[in-house]
Amino acid sequence: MNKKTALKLFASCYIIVAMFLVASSLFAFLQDSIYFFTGKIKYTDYPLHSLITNDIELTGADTFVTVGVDSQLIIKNYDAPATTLILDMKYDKYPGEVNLYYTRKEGDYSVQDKVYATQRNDGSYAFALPRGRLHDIRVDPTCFKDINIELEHFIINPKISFLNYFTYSGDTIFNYFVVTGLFAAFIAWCISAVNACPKLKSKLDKIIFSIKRKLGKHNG
Amino acid sequence: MIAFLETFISFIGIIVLCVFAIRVFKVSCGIAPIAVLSASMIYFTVMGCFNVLRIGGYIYFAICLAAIVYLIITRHKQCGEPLFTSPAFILFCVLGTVLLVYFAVRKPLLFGWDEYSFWGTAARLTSENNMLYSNVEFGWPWAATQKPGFAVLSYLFNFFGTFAPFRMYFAYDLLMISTACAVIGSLSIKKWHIAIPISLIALIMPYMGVYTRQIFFTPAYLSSYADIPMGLLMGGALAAYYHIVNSRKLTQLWALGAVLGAVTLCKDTGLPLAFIAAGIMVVDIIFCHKNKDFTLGKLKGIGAKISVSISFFAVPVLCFIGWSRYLGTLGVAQGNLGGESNLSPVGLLVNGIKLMLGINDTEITAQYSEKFSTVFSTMISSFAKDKICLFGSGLTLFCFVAILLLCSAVLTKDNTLRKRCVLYGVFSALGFIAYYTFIGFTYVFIFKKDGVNLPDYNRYVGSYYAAMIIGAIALLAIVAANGTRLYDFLTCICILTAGGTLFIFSFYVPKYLSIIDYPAVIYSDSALLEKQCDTIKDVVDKDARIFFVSQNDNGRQWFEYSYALLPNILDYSWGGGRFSAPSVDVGDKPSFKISKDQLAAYLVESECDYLLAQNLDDYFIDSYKTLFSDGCATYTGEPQLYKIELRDGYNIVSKDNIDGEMLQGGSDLVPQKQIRVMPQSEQYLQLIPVFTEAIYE
Repeated sequence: MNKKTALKLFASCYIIVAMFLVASSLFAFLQDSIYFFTGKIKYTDYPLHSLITNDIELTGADTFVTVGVDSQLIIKNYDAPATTLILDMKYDKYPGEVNLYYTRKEGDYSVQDKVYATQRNDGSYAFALPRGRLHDIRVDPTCFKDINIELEHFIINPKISFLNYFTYSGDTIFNYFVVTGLFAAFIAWCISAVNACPKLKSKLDKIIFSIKRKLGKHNG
Repeated sequence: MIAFLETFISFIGIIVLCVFAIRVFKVSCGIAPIAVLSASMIYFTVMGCFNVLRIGGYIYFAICLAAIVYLIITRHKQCGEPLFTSPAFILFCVLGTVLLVYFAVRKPLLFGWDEYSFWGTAARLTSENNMLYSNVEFGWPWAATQKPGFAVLSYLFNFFGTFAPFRMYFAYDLLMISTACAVIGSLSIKKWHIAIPISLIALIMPYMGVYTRQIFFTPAYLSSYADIPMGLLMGGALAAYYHIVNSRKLTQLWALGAVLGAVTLCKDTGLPLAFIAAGIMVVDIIFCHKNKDFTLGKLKGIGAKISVSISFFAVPVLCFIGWSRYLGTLGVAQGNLGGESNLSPVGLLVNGIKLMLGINDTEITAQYSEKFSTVFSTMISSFAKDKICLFGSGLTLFCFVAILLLCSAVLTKDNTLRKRCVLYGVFSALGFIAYYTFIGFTYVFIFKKDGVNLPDYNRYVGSYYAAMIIGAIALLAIVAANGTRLYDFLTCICILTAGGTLFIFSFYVPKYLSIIDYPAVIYSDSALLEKQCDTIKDVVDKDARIFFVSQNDNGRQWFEYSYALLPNILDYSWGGGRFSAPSVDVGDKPSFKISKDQLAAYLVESECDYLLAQNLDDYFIDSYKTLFSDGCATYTGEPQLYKIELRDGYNIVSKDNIDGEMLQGGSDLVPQKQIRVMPQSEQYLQLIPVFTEAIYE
């Protein structure tokens, strides 16, 4: 394979995968828009008293106190797709790690199905949820005892900006660069292996030629 | 932003020296980064030993400037390899820059225990004092004698501006990237489809010690532990060697001395690793080269072989002895390994081999024979059984390496390369046996009773495993690049291996628990600590000495604060832990039994200016509250700082002037230390709270 073909191959792999990424984001945006429109997913300010709790107690209209180190706020049998979860909450002490677990079907929580909170400018905590149906959602607001939490809103599916669909996680970016590179390398090897085998090459050439001719006829 | 630019200057300095080595000395693009970084480690260690680190740094950067000028002036005459057609050099520059920008934005902090208890603190001490940590007066009651290679490498990247942990991580990571560069050094840009998978495997190797799905943060690239970088550096030396002999530009072999020297300067276990790497190379020099083809400039044939072989062993030995001699000048034990038996490395080997052969002639061998058999039987069974690395157990890793080498040996068209693969397989395995035995000896003779549980076994053995894989994939890359049978099937094997390694890595390490996508919350404890300590440093003088109280601490917090409070010195304070007066009953909890008067006398004698109450409990308050002007009332559970003041009318001119009697330290938990006891300490001493509010708000 000469240098120019190699470069073309390398670049086109990255461009194709990038296009695929953008297309899937666009698809996600459209899907969510349709879901919002049809009401399949909707903006919900979840009532706090319906949350199932563990090691945490509701002390007022919107205040909680943790009574153990394994505090959990659980929505059981949610069983619908969701985009984002926003918790508008304030702690009276340093809370440590704030995270969320989810399940896809009835069963136990797994550390693999875990999302960390990101704190937004207004101080609220946001969880970007994975796509698809979620069965249970569990928020672990802190791992400390005796912390007072003022939780004003527990919002599922807030409106997300269009641009948000195109901000990619480190995971996606890593996979984009690495997996695409490996994929390009594999294609390059396939091409060189075919070139090295005259019989296979002539057969493939024939097939390509016939496809081209058919396409040409069709167009003509 | 400023820290980024300051670090970037150091990075540019390294790149300039690499370009200089490539263009002027005709060093290969893949070898230049690892050679320059290793040589810099040795250079700064030497400067540090002569206590001219700052001047050495200025000279270093002056050389970089001179190199730039020279490169510009002579740009038409240079030949050397073209820089940007080498995947290795592109990888080094691009990944280095990306990583630096990423670190400068995210600013990771310290995380692991040993980072606070040695690696991070040593790097910070070196940077802030412009002196090797071993030379700095510090709160630790023991001398820090661990090898200085990584601390001085971090010094190079912290040379301009103030110390920041991310600059230290960047230094270490650059070294690991340079290993990947050495591995793909032999591949031209035309062979990018081999360079990508091979460099990917090399770059995943810092995660070697991961053997199961992670549920906690997995630092790897965000760690200052030396084990894995040291293993990678050893692997890098092997990779560089194979590249040099494959490209037949043998004069570059001299550069490998520097890399092996740097391996020795990483850690105490670096010397055996450097020896094993040197051994593998020397065997290759003897068996894979005809005497008449072996020329190093003016040296030819057998003479060249002997001199280069000697240099491979001499540089590590010189580095080892040099450091021991330097420690000797500081009055620290010279060269002995410390621990339970405090043997010299030779003594360790002699006694170990005696035990192995069943000779129990000396007191030492007789004393350890039982421990020896327990340790070795556990080690042998855990080699085959215990999953300890990315590829499973030691045995599966050996099988994996064997398969890679076998494929290379079968598919290559080149007889010398075939021989080289076989020799590498045999001698890296023999080297492993030697290293494994050495680690076993340290468990027997250096570790105390817990040696039989093989503490940190994964970490120690992981270094060698990483090196072994690096050597094997370097050979794989070279064989694949040289052309193989069956439609270059080996290239396909490279890609499949990389795909498999990536799959295992992605399965074991969730991205949000690694450098790739870690949430900031992982460092919230460290950030809180820094914030607290910054508040404290704002109110105390720069040379203030601080006594530390954290009831219930297992030592970690003492290490954390002794790092974060720098340049203020945290007094040893018995290394954290619970204090109580002899009269107070603490049940069966471990506690330092120190009376109120003893504590007061210690505070005066150790010349502490402040007492930091990180965590007080009722035992402490009951025992010592009369020393505090507020009776500990302002302590609300949050850290509080107290100023230690002598009451009016009391003035201590010198230590000997203190009225009192000398005592040997309290209970058996207190190190034997003379403490003066004075009656009615609250009459002359008081501790005054400094903050009226919680100190991190």
